[in-house]
Amino acid sequence: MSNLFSTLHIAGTALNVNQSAINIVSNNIANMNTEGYHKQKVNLSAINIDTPIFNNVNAQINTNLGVEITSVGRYTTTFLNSYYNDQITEQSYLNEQKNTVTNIANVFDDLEGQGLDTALQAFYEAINNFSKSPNDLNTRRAFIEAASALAKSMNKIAKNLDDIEKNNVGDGTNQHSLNNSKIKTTADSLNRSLDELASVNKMLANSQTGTLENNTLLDKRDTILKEISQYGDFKSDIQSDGTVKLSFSGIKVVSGNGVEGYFGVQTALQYDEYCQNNNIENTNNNNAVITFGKDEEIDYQNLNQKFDTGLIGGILDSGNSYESTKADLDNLAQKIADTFNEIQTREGAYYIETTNGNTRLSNENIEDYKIFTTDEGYNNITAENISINPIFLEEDGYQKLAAAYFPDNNPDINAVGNSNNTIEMLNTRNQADSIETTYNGIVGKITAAYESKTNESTMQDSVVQTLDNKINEQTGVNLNEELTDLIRFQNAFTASARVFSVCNNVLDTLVHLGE
Amino acid sequence: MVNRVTTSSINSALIQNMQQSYNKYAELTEQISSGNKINSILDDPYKSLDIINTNRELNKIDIWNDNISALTNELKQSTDTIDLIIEKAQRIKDLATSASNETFSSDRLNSILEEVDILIESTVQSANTKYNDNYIFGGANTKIPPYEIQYDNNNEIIGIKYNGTRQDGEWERQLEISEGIFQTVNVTGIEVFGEADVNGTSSGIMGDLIEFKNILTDIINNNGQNYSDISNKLDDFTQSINQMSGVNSKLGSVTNKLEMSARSLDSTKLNLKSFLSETQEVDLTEAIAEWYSSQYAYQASMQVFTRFNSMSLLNYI
Repeated sequence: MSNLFSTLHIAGTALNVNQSAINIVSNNIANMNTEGYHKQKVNLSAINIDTPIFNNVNAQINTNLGVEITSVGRYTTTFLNSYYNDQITEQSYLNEQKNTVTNIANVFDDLEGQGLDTALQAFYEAINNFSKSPNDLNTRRAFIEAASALAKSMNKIAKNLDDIEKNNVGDGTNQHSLNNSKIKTTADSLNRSLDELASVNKMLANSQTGTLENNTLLDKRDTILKEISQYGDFKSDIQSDGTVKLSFSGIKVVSGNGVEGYFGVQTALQYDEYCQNNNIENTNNNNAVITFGKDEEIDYQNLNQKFDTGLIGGILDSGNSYESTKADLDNLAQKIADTFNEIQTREGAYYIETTNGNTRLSNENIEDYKIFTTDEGYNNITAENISINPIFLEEDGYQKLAAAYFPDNNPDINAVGNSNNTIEMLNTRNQADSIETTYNGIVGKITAAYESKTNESTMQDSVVQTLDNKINEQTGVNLNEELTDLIRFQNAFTASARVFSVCNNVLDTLVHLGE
Repeated sequence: MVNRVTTSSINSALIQNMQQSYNKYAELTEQISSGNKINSILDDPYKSLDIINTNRELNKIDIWNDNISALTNELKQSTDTIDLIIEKAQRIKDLATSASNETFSSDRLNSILEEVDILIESTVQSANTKYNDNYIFGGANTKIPPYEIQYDNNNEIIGIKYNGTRQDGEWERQLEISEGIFQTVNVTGIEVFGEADVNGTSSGIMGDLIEFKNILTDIINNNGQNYSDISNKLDDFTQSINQMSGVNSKLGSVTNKLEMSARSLDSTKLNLKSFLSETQEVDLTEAIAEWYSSQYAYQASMQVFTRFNSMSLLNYI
């Protein structure tokens, strides 16, 4: 015969279990919008004891001892997670590259008519007017103005590119500029994530001592791993106690005990000094160099090659993109300077000289009257330092422009209307490899890069988005599911309570049997 | 088993869709309000390069058009001046014809001589005409008068000196009228009018003028010249006038050529402009139709979002 108290006990376990189950439902609903929360589910099982039953049906009944919660499971997609994290690494790399080309393209945006192309057009227009009236003071001054504006427009673009590069990877020498750069702040937030991961590791080691899992901490761990994966190609090795060993290209970064080291950034100058002191060949061409080490000690001096993807890889790459665009621009500046300096100072070129009211041609010192120059001379002209020769900005500097050209170097001293030299300048526009063609090449390169990077990054965005949805669908909270669960457990709770009260009545009846 | 759909995943999908339709809506709104499909090179990298090239081409065409009108004006002034001098040459030729009549007294010859002096001065003055503050018949010597009358000690005209650039020098002044094509603006005085330098050569109408004056003076002074020399000179006058007319018709054909160039530049410009507006500007009819449909799409996605979120088992508990 079964014991009434054991029935009461069974109902009691059911009350307890359903109350706990409602607790889990409540937690699920509370976290339905929490980022990285995985739906939890109570796993129920019947309690029984393994006593010998023989042929005793009462003994058989007595093996049933009610219900219990064996574990609270969490919906996970372990395989998808690691794939997802890889895709996030790729996504942040591509997004950063897209940012870079967008920034560069913005600098060259000239549809509104304020940029380099407009300055170049204005310059050629000034040359044309100059060739029309080679001895007119106003067309000469306009030419000088236009040349000066062209130089300034190149300076401005070079400076804009420089500023963006500085914002990304610093200027390569100055610690202060590095501290304010994107690469440094990114490395800092990576380090913070490493700290967080280490502390979650510690908590997991303390808390997950048995077979049951600490679901909330695991959620937190997965969220941090996702965060870290955007920075670079980190490998995470999950241990049986839920802790993670994080490594980066063979370097231990976080272990069960804590952070093994932090990522730092040094300037190209500092790295160069290190290389010189240690006789290492310096192949670095980036303004910023990623390091790794602990407590002021640097164990790895240059990890730039290893960061070939992720946000940090993207930022490091951006440095190269700016440098290559700047090199293109410098070539253009050199080409502009060479083209016009050559024609201005070639053999047979003559400028106007006005003395005592007489207008005459002269070619004295013409080698010194190059149009484009820099503060340090005529060589190594870059987009950053190109400027108009200050001689032309003097009171009668306009006279020094050589408009006339005599092929046999046999000048007609009165031929101030000779503009053959200016026409030669104008004709540079019609050559196959003209300055404007070179400029088009630069812009074409930039726009093509923009187009392809935008496409790549959009594609990757949708890959990540799809994965994100998939993971979310498999692990997130569905309100309808929770509400049906809530009603299910509520009903079960009510029913158990009813059983409890029936038992109570039966007991009562028993107690009063003898009266 | 049915795939799970979670509240937050469907929410994020709905939000994404809503954002997409909002982006499209905002993009179209910006296009319509600015009138341009492409406002920055980021809007369409490849087409932007076309726009940059087309704008540059249009800028060049404007320059060439300016050049052509400057050329045409200067050429007109040149031909007008040459016409004026041809008239004067005709007058002198008439004088010469009448002077070759041996019945003229020396008084009459003296008055012809005076008129010849005046005509020489006015011819030189015309040949020294300026356009845009430049002497147009001096070749590249645009700042000094191309012709200078030479006088002897008695203040008698004895020569007309040419100070401009000669045909064998760098005399051409050129302007670009289309890609790499440079048109010469000027003719040198020496080619049209010749010269009569006291210490140099004598040619053209200028030479004829001085020679005719010399012959007249000699006849008046009875220095062995006779009237038949004047008759011989008449042929020279005809030749010089033909020379000037020849230059004028050459300049006329240049003017015609320029007109044709200008017309072809105008049609190129029209084509480029329509290409530019097709590429860059928004087709308003199409854009507004799209704008309305994107507005509906946006409204629909918002409505779906709110309706979806109000649906839940919560309503039935």
